[in-house]
Amino acid sequence: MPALSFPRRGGTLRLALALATALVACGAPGPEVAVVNRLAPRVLLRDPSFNGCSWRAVLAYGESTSVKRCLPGSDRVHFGRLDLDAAAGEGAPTWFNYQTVASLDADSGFHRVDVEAGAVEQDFSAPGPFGH
Amino acid sequence: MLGPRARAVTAAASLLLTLAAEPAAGGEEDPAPYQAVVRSDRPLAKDPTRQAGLIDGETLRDSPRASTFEAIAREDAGVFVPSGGPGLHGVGNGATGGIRIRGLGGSPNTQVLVVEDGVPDFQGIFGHPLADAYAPSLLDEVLVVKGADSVLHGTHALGGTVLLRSRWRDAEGFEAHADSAAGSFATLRTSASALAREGRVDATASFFGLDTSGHREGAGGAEAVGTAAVRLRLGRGLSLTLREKVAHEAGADPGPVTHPTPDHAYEVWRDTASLALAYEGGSHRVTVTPYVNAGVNRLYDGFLSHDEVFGLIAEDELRLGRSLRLLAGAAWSGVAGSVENRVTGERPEVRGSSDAAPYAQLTWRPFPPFTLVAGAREVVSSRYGAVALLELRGRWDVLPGLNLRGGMSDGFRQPTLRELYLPYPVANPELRPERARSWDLALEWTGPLLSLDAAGYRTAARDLIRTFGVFPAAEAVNVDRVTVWGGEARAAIRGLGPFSARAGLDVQDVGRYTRQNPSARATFTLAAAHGFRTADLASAELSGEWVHGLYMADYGRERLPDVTVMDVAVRYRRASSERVIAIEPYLDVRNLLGARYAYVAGYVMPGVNVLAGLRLSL
Repeated sequence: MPALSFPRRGGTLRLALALATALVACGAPGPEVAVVNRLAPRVLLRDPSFNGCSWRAVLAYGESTSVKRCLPGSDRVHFGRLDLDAAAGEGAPTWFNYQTVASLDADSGFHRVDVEAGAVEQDFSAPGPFGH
Repeated sequence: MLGPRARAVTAAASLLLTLAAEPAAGGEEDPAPYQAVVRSDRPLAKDPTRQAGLIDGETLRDSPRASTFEAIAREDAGVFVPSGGPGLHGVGNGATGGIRIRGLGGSPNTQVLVVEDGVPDFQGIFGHPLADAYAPSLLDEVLVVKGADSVLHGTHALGGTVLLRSRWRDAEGFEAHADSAAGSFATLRTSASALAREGRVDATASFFGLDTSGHREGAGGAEAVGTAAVRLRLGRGLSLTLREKVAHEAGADPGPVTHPTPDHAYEVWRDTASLALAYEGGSHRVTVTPYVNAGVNRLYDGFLSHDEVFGLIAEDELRLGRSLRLLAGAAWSGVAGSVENRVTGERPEVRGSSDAAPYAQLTWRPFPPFTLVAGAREVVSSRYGAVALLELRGRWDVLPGLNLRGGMSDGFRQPTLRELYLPYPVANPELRPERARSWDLALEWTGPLLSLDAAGYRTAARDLIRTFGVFPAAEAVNVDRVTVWGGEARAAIRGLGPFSARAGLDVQDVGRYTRQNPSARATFTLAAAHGFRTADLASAELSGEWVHGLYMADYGRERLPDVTVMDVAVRYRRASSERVIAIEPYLDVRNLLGARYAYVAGYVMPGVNVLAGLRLSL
């Protein structure tokens, strides 16, 4: 029967296994983020994104996205914006790309981002066409 | 109070010191059974002036890097391969895994040729290999030939060639290996391989599987790679080798972190098969290798392609007396494919092409310390007519352990079918082939304790294919000339008790085409190993890279911060007393310092992440 047991004096091996278990268990989780539409009662906010996270959602005023875990780091919140009053009477509604003026630096913990009317600007940084 | 980075460094340093400080058992280091490395007596490079910088397969298997190409790049500062994190290298704007050598290559990786067991490996439509489809389980050796090398290997060998060779057993019997690991981001990695030799038959088989959620949405993916090979030694110097490799991967382009696109999914199937008939007798060594490489690509936007690369290589290495060797060969190859968009119904016309090429290389040793190599290839293409390629190189073994080598060689790359016909985003059917001429001069010293290798190089390329402008007004065109100057150096120290170290530096001036073409790169590895009387082996390795002058655009625009990243790998190999089975737990800690960095703008790499695994060998 082959001897498969670890060495009795294998402190190094046990240390390595303990360290491996600890590292795999803890990891680096990153911050939890939720985005809330505080633009205006008649303005919709669509598909927000923040530092690697994206939400497939259309938010009415006061509504929030689900909480997602994002990458640690700094970014603005990017989203589509539709003013229902301005779009009234048009055919297909036109969503414009917007972003928050201020960046949020989030390494860990929970962050609720209230997107407010006076703190957003148009976003021209959207990437170009998908290159195969 | 220590921060998370300091804690990680302290833990890794403690582990390194602990391993290095194990008491010497005094016994000789007796290699475990799975360490029996089978070496072919045939050098991987057919040009003796380019047999430098071999990388052992075991080194790549033990690497903490996520893919084989990344592991190769960690061993050689002159090979730049951006990482994609713990998962797949991906597609689209954020694709990584492209190889750059001496200013050429990149993403997609069409200017550096990968040759796996004698067969050129690239996709018919896209013209580059699947960067994730190279599992190291059965790798014997890897040689990176830097600079143009199309005289021997034909199209795509413009910036360099990566030659991979798989293992066989050299003694009767059977061996098997299994390796499974789990780590951060729900990453699961497993591989199994087996090698057998019985009578006149050699056989190998391997499987590699990876599944990960990735470090952010869309960065995950899964892949599976299976290989099988059978070699029949028919007697009288004849052998017949059949190889088959199937790869499947499914992932996504996660998009930049500011505008994620986790639903930009893709799926690829790839199947490569070859049949090699070899004869060795008298002064001849003849090989005839037909091959076919077919695949299917599906993208989230409805894109569907089928493509094939097929060919035949026939070669004879002929010894003409004691000082002269002639390698004469002929290669025929073709590419074909079809494309459709299942959503829009578009079916762009794709016209395949083929080419035939006689080639020859003469190696002459007029006096023992001197070797001269001259070669020529005439590519006759169905699309571009005849193209002549030349090579003239030399090597002077000045003293035992000291050699000077260098010379000139030509490179050639036909435009890919994607560049010619597929408007994703632009194409141009009028494109001409890319051409390059490389010059280099290298001095190498190999001593018992220290190895040094320094080289200067110059690559002059013309008709390089570039995309200019902004969609929909963008265009793909052949640009004018570009010249790359550079120098690289490597050093390795071994025999310092349990310690060894190796490091490299590559510095280059790539002119105006700076996109993803760094101006400097350094790599290092510090290793400690200790063998026990029981044949156990404990080892630890700290390795890292520094990338400087990395841009997202040509003309030195959109510079990215320098990348400095370090990894640690620790392992303990334990063989059973009967030497039947070996067990080897290991731990890889990537990005040990928790650096925030990116190789591609907006594609932020993960922080500290780990992979813990167990390898079994029978």
